[in-house]
Amino acid sequence: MAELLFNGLIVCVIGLGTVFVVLGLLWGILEISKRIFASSTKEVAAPQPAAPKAVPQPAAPAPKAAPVADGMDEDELVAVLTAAVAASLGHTSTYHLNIKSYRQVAGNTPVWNRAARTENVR
Amino acid sequence: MELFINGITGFLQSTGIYRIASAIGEYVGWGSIVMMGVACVLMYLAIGRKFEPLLLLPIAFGMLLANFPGANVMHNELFVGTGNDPNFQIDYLKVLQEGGLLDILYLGVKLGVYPPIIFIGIGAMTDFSPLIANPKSILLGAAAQLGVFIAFFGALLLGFNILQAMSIGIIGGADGPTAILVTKTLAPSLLPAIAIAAYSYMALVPIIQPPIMKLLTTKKERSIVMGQLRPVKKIERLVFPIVVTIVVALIVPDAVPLVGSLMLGNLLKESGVTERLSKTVQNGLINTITVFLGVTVGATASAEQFLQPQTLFIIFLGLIAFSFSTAGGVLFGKLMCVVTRGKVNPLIGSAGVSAVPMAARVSQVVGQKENPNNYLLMHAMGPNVAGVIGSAVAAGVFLAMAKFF
Repeated sequence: MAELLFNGLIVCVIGLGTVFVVLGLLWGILEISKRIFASSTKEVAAPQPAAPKAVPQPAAPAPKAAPVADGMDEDELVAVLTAAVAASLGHTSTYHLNIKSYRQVAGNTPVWNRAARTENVR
Repeated sequence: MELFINGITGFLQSTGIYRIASAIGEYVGWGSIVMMGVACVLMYLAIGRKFEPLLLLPIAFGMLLANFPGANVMHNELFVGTGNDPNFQIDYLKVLQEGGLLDILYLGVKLGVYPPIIFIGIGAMTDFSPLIANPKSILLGAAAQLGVFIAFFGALLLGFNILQAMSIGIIGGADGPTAILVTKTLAPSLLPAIAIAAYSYMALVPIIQPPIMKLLTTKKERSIVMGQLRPVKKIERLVFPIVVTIVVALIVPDAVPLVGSLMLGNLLKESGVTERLSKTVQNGLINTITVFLGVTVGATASAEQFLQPQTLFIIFLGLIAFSFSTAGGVLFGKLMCVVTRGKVNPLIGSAGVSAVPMAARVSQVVGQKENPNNYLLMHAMGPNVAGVIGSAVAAGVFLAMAKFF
């Protein structure tokens, strides 16, 4: 019995130890990969807060050559824009819309214009 | 005329009613009736109380099927032999020649095929971004494996042999397929009891965890609000499954069937180019396999093997395993809270016991009770998915070490 329990204790120590070593190693690797991709992460962070602002702009799904901000969540952003356009147009489905490009509205619009725009969009 | 009477008698004697009536008085006969009762209770828990119904219901029905005298849908003797012969070898040719429907389907469990396939589906349903965004939370997934080893040790104290103890311990990983894979290899005769204990406790996570979480944390710790997680780039989500597979394969090759499948499923989803495959593995494939797995695991619950005092021990040890895993995660969370000077809410630690996503929801609910504006769900998803990797690694360690005993 004593030998069995001793063996058991060894299994516990090695087992829990291995679990921590493997996951600890993964932690290290994740931190490193975070550093590697960190430089481009900043670019991504910028357009994100602007996304809701961009919503009023594509009043039409019309194709318009515009600089497309490169970011990782572009698919997501396009999905959000499509949904927003569909919602503002009323009786239409997102299947009928095709966002070909989008552009962030410059932040220097006079405040009254912006107020009016939000009012109308709502 | 005689032929007619013989025919009638023969048919009557072959009916289940006759067999049950004639078996009453024998231990096995009573056992079958009790097992049918147990199956009905489990069906009630699955349908009435919604305890992991996707698995518990097939398990319960498999139990019912297998315990009808004379139905012979499952032949356990083909897989574990008669009596307790420790050197029993399965004669697979005999299984193919003489086996019924469930015997053939059970081969998928016995050969370790179903759990990895289920893991492919789980991988395709799992989003690892909360973990990638907050990498240190992966350690909580390791700490919450404490219960696995405590229950393992407890099982040794209660007189189980070392292989059985390993299978019982893995209940604490709160991961059904992992528990089934380990048990079918190390202690096949305990399979139904362990599978049922694992799935029942997973359903009971919202009842088991909160008292332990409250006991181990202060009100102040529970109301800590954590900052928003950073957005994760697509490239990070693509690299993650590949790197995890490589690291695990290098250290614990025995965990590769599980972790590798999990990561394959995840890569199918994250790559974005295999949408059809991803949809299939997370719907059709995983559901098909779940039916096969549930019914056959339930069907292994024969009266001789299930109606034993050891089944009660397993249910007791399962509770110990879940409780200590929760405690391990919460205590490590407290440690991280101290180290990061109060930036980590220890409640997310309890989510380290996989049981995705139930355990993460428990963290959210307990946290919100202290501070209604606290949203811990995404923070708890990190340890939660790390727990899946953690328990698969623990299973790999057990499988590797079992070869030495």
